[in-house]
Amino acid sequence: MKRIWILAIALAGFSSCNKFLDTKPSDFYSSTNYYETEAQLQQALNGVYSNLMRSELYGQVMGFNFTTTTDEVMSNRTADGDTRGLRYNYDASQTYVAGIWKSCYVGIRNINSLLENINKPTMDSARRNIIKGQALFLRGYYYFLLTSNYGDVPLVLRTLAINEVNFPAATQKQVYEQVEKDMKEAEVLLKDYTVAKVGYNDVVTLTAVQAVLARVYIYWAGYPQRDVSKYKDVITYCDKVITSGLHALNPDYRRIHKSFPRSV
Amino acid sequence: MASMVARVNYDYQSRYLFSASMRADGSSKFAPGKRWGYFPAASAAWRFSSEPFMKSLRVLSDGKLRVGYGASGNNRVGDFAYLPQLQLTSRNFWYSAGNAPLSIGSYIQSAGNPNLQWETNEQTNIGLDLAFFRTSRLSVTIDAYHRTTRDLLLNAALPYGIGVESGFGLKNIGKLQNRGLEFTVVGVIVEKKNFNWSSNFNISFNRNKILELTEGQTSILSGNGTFFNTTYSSLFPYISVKGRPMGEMYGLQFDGVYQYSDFDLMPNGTYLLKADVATNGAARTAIRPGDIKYKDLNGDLQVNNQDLTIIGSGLPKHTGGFSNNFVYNNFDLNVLFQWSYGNDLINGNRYVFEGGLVNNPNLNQMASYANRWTPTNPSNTMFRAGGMGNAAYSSRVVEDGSYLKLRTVSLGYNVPVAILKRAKIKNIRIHTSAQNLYTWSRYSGTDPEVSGRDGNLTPGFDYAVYPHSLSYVAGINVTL
Repeated sequence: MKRIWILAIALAGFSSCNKFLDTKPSDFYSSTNYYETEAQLQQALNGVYSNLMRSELYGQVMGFNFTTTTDEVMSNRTADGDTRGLRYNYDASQTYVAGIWKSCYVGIRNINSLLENINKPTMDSARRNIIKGQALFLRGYYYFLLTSNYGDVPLVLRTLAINEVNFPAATQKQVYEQVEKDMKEAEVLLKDYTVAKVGYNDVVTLTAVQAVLARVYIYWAGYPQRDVSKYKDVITYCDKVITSGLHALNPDYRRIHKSFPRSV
Repeated sequence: MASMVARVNYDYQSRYLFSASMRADGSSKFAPGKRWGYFPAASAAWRFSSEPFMKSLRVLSDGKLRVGYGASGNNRVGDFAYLPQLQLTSRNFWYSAGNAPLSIGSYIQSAGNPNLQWETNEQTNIGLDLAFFRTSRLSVTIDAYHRTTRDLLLNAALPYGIGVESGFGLKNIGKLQNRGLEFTVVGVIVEKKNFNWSSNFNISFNRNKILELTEGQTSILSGNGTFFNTTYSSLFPYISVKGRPMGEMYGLQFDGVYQYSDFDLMPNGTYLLKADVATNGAARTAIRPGDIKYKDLNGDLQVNNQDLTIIGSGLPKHTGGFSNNFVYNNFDLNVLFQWSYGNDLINGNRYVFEGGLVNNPNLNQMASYANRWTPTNPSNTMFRAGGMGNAAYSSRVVEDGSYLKLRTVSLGYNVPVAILKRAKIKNIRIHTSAQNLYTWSRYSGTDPEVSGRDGNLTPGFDYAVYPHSLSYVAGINVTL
């Protein structure tokens, strides 16, 4: 006696199931549903600016731990722990060393994502160029921080997918060339965006780009690249800042203590 | 979540059994195109005891051979984990220009992974069911399985160059293999008119092995986090190495205590560690007699991260249970033992209460610490007060966590029906039971059955874990 049971349960058709599974996030923004307005581009740029202010960069480490290794500070702290830098003995186990690397690349990912979506919103092209110019300058600046601290570093110019984990380092020369390219492009995009027009110093304006380019060239000309041909670019860009007529050296040291606090 | 299942069963005279199924699961947690997972299963069984040629073998009342294969899926990740997420509420990323109030800034919090898909678990097993004697008084079940889990949904380490703050992202990574053997014996030992004793004994062996980790990775460290004070936060007491079981204990090998013979007496009366004796991680000049000593595995005369090694395994060699039921007239008694053999535990409490932690002096200590090293008591097991060296996990507190527990004893009495009839009560049962009555173990902590850190990668971490409680219950059931 043979008994066969066949039981098959078939639910509704496949396509309707797929529609049923198609849900959209409603409580957060993703790169796919962001960068759609001018305001959102500006917000993404704000995030990149403030990333520079975190403690791993100018909030603490760049302004204190990494500069006070000179004779500016004599510390009475112990030779180990977080104050190691004060005694010229930074090594890879120091979290500040990894912190600069990480924070720069966090900034770079945000910039790359912003640049990839820069043409998404419909907006005034002059205002778009101002955002794009600042973003390009900041990417160059993050790479300048990276290469002046670490030498050869990976050059990431797009948002990497999560499985792209093996990327080689570019030579320091390639990094400087990219910094130069980004900043020169920024210089063109920001050609009318001067500090006189903006009215404050908290964003990147034309002369900031030019002054930092001069700084990039002088690092490039010096150790370890020793590309002495860049000295003339240093002069060119310093001249651009000087002849802009927007900036002057402080005539009196005491004024720093009088006028600077007032502006804050 | 949407699922479809199709199944076929075939049974020929209860002798040949066959079943196959196909399951399709769709989950909205994955990106379009990655949503559906297909999980087939098939099994076959042969009841050889029903074959005509076996009929003469009267001692065997039932015999069945089973083989099976099955796949199943796991989608336990957060909703929309496949999408990159932007954070707009963190004021750390807001910016103010021109003395204006802070304006919103966004930053990319997670990279997202559009390739996330179902984690798949494949199991092949072979089993044998045997029952003996006319009433099947004795039955034996043997099962062997081989399980492979692939595309595990785990948080994988990312290079910082990707630009994700946390340095982690969800991926389908790795491959894990579990192989095991399980035996169960059930028998009625005594079967008399007013006394019955039956037993159930089971033992299982499981071995696991990491077959693959994420791209180019050979090990994962785990189990870090704050532990009494933050000095230990960045240390990892567990490691999972490719080709080895997961979640092995990782640290320095404890090598006793520095004795006077390890030192040269200096003219000023202090002791300096001899040049051919390895340090314990602290500076050579700072080490004093009575300080903790670790094995210098690479022979460079200093103990550091390069001397870390595997110091124990949190996974047992075998576990099992032994249950006995006695019935004598109206009394019944159940006694259950359970055990685990061959697993180690990290007794984290001993860091704090047997020598103290770095940066936390002046804590109360356990009585055992009275036997610590002093100039007149050259102990080699416990360092002097304050001699704990740098923060490190070490084999000093790794202990054998094997145990045998008397898990349950329950005794019941049913009041005879003849007495109850007059009171018009159907049934009265008086019962009492106790849980976790006694533990046989060499472990020095309160309870060897602990896991203070979540997850499979950190088995057997005991730090201030609440022990299984001993409980007594008594009751009367009355049915009217």
